[in-house]
Amino acid sequence: MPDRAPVGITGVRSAGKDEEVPTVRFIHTADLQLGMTRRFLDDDAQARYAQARIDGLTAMGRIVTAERAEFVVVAGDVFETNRVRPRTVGRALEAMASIPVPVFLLPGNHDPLDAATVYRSPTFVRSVPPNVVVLDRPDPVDVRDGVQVVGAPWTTKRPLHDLVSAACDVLVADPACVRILVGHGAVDNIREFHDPATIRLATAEAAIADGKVQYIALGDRHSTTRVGETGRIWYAGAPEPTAHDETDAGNVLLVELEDSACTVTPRPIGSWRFVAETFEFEEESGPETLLERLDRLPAKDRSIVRLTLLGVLSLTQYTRLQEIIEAAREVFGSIEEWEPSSRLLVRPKDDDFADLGLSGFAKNAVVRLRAEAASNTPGAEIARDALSLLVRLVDLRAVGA
Amino acid sequence: MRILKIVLRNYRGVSQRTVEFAPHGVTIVEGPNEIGKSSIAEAIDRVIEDMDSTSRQRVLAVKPVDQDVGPEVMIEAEAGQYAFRYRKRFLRDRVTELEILRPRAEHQTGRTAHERVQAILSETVDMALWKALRIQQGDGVGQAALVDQTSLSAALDRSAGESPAGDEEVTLFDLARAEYLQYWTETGRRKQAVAEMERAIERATQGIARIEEAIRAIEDDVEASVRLEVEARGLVERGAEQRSRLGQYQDRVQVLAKLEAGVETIQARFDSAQLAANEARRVDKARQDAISAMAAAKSVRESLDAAAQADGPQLEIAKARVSAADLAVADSRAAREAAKTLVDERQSHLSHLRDVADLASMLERKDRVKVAIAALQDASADAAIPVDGTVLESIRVHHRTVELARARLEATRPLVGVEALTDLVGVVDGLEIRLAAGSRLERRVDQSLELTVPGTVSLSVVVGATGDLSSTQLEAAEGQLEDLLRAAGAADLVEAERLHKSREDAVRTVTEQRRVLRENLRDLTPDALEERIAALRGRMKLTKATRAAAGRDNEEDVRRSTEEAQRALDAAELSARAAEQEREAAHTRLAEIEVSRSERNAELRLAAEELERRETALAEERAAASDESVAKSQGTAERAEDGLRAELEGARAELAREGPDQARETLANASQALARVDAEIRQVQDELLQVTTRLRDHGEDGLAEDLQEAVAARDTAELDLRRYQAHAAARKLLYETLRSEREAARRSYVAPLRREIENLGKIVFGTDFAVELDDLNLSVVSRTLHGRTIPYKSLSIGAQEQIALISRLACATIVAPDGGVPVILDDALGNSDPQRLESMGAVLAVAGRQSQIIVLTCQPDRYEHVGGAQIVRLS
Repeated sequence: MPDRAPVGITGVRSAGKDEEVPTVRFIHTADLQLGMTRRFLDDDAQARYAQARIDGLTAMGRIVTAERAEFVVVAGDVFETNRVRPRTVGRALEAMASIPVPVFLLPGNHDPLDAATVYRSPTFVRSVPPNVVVLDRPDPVDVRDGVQVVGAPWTTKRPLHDLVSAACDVLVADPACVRILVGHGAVDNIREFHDPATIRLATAEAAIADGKVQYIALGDRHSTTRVGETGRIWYAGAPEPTAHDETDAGNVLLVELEDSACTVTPRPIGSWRFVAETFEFEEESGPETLLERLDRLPAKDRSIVRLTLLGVLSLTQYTRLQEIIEAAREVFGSIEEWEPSSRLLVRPKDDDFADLGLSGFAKNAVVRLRAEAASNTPGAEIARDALSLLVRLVDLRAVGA
Repeated sequence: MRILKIVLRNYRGVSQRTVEFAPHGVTIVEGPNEIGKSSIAEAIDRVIEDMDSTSRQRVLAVKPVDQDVGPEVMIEAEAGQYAFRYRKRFLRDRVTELEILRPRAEHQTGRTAHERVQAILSETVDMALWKALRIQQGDGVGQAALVDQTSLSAALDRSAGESPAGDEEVTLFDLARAEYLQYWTETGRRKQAVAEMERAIERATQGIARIEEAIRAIEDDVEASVRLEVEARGLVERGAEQRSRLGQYQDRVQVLAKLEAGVETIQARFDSAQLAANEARRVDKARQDAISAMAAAKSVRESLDAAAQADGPQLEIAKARVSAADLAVADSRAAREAAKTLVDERQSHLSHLRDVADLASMLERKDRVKVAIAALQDASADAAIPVDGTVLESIRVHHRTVELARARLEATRPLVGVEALTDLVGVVDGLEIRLAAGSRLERRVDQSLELTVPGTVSLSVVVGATGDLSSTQLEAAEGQLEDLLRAAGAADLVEAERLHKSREDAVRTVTEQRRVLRENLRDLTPDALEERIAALRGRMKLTKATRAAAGRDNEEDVRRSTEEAQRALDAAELSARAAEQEREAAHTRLAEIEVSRSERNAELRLAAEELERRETALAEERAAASDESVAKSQGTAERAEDGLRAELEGARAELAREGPDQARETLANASQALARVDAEIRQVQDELLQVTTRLRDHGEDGLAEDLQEAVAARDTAELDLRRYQAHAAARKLLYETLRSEREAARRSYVAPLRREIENLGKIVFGTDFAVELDDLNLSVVSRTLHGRTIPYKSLSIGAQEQIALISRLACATIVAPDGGVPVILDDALGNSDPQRLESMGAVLAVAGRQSQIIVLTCQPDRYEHVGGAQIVRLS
């Protein structure tokens, strides 16, 4: 294990009754999931996406400095898995080293402290900077006088009990000490889990009510979420969004504990965006309107766009739409049509072919393909593509002529 | 297009010619060979196709051979809305001049004029079809190439009720085909690229499976490490418990060991007491044994003494029996000797009598031998006579030969007969003879004969050669006979026969006497016989005395008395043998008694010695310890032994109650159990070490990121493949739809074209004329007439020629409404008979109603049946 010299372990502190409870200011984050890749990203975008997560750590360092935070807690899933590449570990630790305060890392369900844990890997042990502490035991760690961080680390992928409650159970309230409990996992009020490891909100809130802990920093949920009614239990959310279904990702939490007050301020930090665009084609809004909308999206190279397309398109419009999407692929981080909900219909219209000036057998072929495209058969899409190709070829021929 | 007029100047052999054509209908240009008819058709091509500046061979070829002038062509034509005059002079003083008359007047020269005409024609005329419909001189009977002739297609499209497809559609088709071929092979198979993409996906999937497998292995190891740690902790606890139990068992075993040592001490004491008691018992028993042994020795000596005294009388009886037996033996031997002597005498006598008989017989044989030898000696001389049967027979044969020769000689000798007519005296061979008158003298002449009647006549007869031959044979035969007789020692045959008889007699005698000799000598020689006789006589002298003693010379008596003597001898020998057996038995019995006596004496001596020894030993032992003290010692030792035995049994029972073996087994088992736990701990720790080593070795492989990357790559590849397949499917559908529509269009062309061909053909072949067209190239495949269908190629040349022309005219008719093209027929219908020519004339006339038809021919009568034709005669 890395040396803990910077903070030391002194067990439960005994403070005099007259001692004032100090103000504590720190950064709460979680679910960095370093080493994560996204299947919809090509190689180039993937590299940028990975780099953004490292850059996020540097950005945290800036917030720490700006806000005079005393430390950072990462509430689990620092790494995507225990089986990340040494390079990923090395870069992460290098970035953490640039944060000018202690950084407490909690092993979560993605990177549990099991026999294969990344936290005991040669690269980690070799490269861990002095300010980085792994919360590998449920013992309180002194940050400074009157401030303790208590971790509830995952030691296996499938714990058989609520680790947060277990950590609270052994604590004794200490009026002279501010304790931040760092935990990971689902909370039973958010999702009904039959998992024995599910965190019991009631127990957690009781620990706060009893003064055992003053704040519970949670990880696992990628959207920033306040849990329960105390205002002292939070999911920080992932600092970089990872999926379309996240509602409020891309933040870190600046937490300030003062006397009886707890102030939690989400600070946006993520540079990537998951954008879900639903677009319905109508008479007046064809592919060009979609193009305008895509053009207006900011930070295209860091946007992962999912298009849900509705409405009816003529063949010419459909051909144009394809051109637009193909061009957008070159610009955006990722752009994909969300097929399951796509209800885009292509209905070749007479106008599509009137300008083509086809006659004879070619005209007959168009009639046949149109009939097929309009049918409800599996071949309709192929027929649509064939017609689209025909339109292109007619254009090509015109250019050739 | 219609060509209204053509003017040639200095074109091949034509210096100047103008020909005008009927704008509709048939124009027949007649003229003899080499007048320049084909030049008219050719000149139209040259003026349209070639620029005046060309130096192409086909233009050079039209220059007049004898003049250095430029060939010149001018045509007047109508095409679509255009009417124009177009003139070109090639090679020398080149000119291109175009004068458009309609729709608006226009004048062009040079290249501009050329290009303008090209533009007009490509706008209004299907030049390819025009050329296809033409029949050039020598073209024979080939069908026109009608496929892809745009104007025909357009016309046929219209006929089929369609909007016409033009060059644009053809180009589109080619583009679609090119697209199709990017994804599919000519034969409609998938391109290699698809298989490669599928293989790449398959490889990627396998790679993913490998990484997943490796990750699973690591996860298994992680779980195993948890399990193994739990196991190790449990085992260590178990080991501690086991160790504590083992200590308790060891303590108990030590207590028991002390108990066992006590038992062993008692055992040692008991063992030594037992040894002492055993010794006392042994000493006591030895004393008792010695006493009873001495008593036994005494008893033995006494019984031996008694036996020795009983031996004396038995010995005496045996000796007496031996003496009697010896005497009996001597007597029986004497009796036997006497009998033996008598037998010998009798046998000697009998032998002498037999010798006497033998001597008499031998003497008789000797006499007979002597007689026979004398007889043999007498006969031996005659038996040696050489005249045997063979010699005698040979002498007889030769004797007959001589007699025969002599007779033959006699017969051959001349016979001289002299008949005395008167009595006369004469001399014959010196001998005087007298012959009475009338008598006759006959004489054989041997060699010569001299007859002289003195005073009267002298006659000499000489025999010739013949007589000599007979004489020679006789001499030879006589010589041989004499030789034989001489050898036989006989003077003549008679003597030879006598000698032969003497010899035969002697030989018989010899044989007889030899038999007598054999019978009497038997296996002896005469000398040996003599020796036998001498030997017998000697032996008889020796036995004379014996013979005298016997007194009887009767052999039978002698033999009987000999047999009696022998029987007496046999009886004497039996008695002698019995006496000897008795003597043997008596001697044996005596020897036995003597040996028995000697043995008993020895035993007696030994028994006395034994008795003495035992008495001495017992006395010594008793001196050392009396019988009473020995018995007392034994009692003491046995009591000590019994006491210790009881003590030992008590101690043993106590130990057994404590169960030392069970305690030891429990201890051993506990020790083994502990060893097992230790081994299990080592094993679990080993496994744990292996697992953690594996995890350390592979923990940093970055497999999760590898997996994510591999999955992403595979997904991308699959997406690419799906896109590729969608593209391929779209291309296939488009191309195949276009193709099938195009083919369908072609098939739709078939009906109007066929209808037109059949309409024209019925004029020639009759109303039931029908043809079948190839869907794709529109050529005529077969003709059906009177219900018989014949492939085009199998038709007669004439029929092929007619159908090929009808087919062209049908096309021209079909395209005529669009402006049409002129049909130029140069020297066609060379293979048609007059009747067909007549009907073909009608066909041309019908076709000419809608198309311009220009016929070039040197045989105007071929076309005399073309009604309404405009005739142009060239001369």
